Amino acid sequence: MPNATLDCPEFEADLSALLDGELAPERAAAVRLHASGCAPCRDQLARFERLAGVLASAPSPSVAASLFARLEARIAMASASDTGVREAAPAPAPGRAWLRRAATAVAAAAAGVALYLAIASREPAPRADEPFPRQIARRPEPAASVPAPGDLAALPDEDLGIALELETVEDFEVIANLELLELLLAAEAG
Amino acid sequence: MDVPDEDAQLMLAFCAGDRSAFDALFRRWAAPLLRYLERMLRDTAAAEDLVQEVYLRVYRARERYQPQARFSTWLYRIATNLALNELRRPRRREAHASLDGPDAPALAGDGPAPEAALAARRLAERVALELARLPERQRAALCLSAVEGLSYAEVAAALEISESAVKALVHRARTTLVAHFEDTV
Repeated sequence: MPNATLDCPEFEADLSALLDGELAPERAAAVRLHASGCAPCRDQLARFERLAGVLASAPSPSVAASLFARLEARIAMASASDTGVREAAPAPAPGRAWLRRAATAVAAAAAGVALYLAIASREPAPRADEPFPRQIARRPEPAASVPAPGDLAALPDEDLGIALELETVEDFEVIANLELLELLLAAEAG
Repeated sequence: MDVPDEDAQLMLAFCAGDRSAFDALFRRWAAPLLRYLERMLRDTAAAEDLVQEVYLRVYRARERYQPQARFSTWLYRIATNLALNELRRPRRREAHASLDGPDAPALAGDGPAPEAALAARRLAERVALELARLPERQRAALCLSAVEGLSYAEVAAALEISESAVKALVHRARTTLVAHFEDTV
């Protein structure tokens, strides 16, 4: 019988790699030989094998059919944002930076609508026992905080300044979700 | 990397403008990614969000992609980085086992489940819970190796650590788990 005190820490550390087929052939043979005569290591290897069976047999989640549609919506948003940046790119001259930012904002505004659609499509059907109605799905003006392309000039100066500061779709996601956050907070408070 | 693997070839086709190749990559890898991310986060909705984020990054990488490793290793690296970031978010929701989730115990009305199947299901639930309590990198290393079937070299590439570190992480994770299941595993 192997000397458990001296040999086992060395062999025991390789039991997992043995199970995973990650040991060189000579080392794998040595560890197997050791385990065949060492009850603690043999038992540990058996426990590892049973655990591997449990991990492998655990149910896997199924991919929701809507997941790809939601991804497509996000890609559409990203593409709209990228297009906006590219189209504004020829005007990087000093003093014209506002044009690029405005173009990005306009593209992101379109993306905001796509985001709204993506969010709305994720809303499950309301249940009768819901504590409050799902107001988001019934909002008449999707992503109302996001200015429509033609509305930028109509914004008050302070709002225009904020709109032009928004560089990324993620910024618009935050804005588009503010209403959702406010509604949820109001519902919680109520 | 001499010859790109089949998935890398699909990605190269996508880079060349074949959009159907991107769809094919989604069909091939969305389910394994979702399984991995759900085990990492124990939150199906968050895992689905991150699957989308992974593919969004793949989409955005189409103009600069170079097949330097297996495509799946690259995917898992993106997924792992996103999952670790998600787990470190300060206001991340506590992961709770959802009664609607795929690991939920059988509820009354589903019909009688065979005892052995029920016992196996409960054991799988316990393992999933204990898995979620492991340190993040141990969990990632074990899931990638023992569930997703990546080699230690691939796990090392995905986690951006050495192979010997992967070996140690996987071994520690297994040792911790079996110690918690002394009675059943």
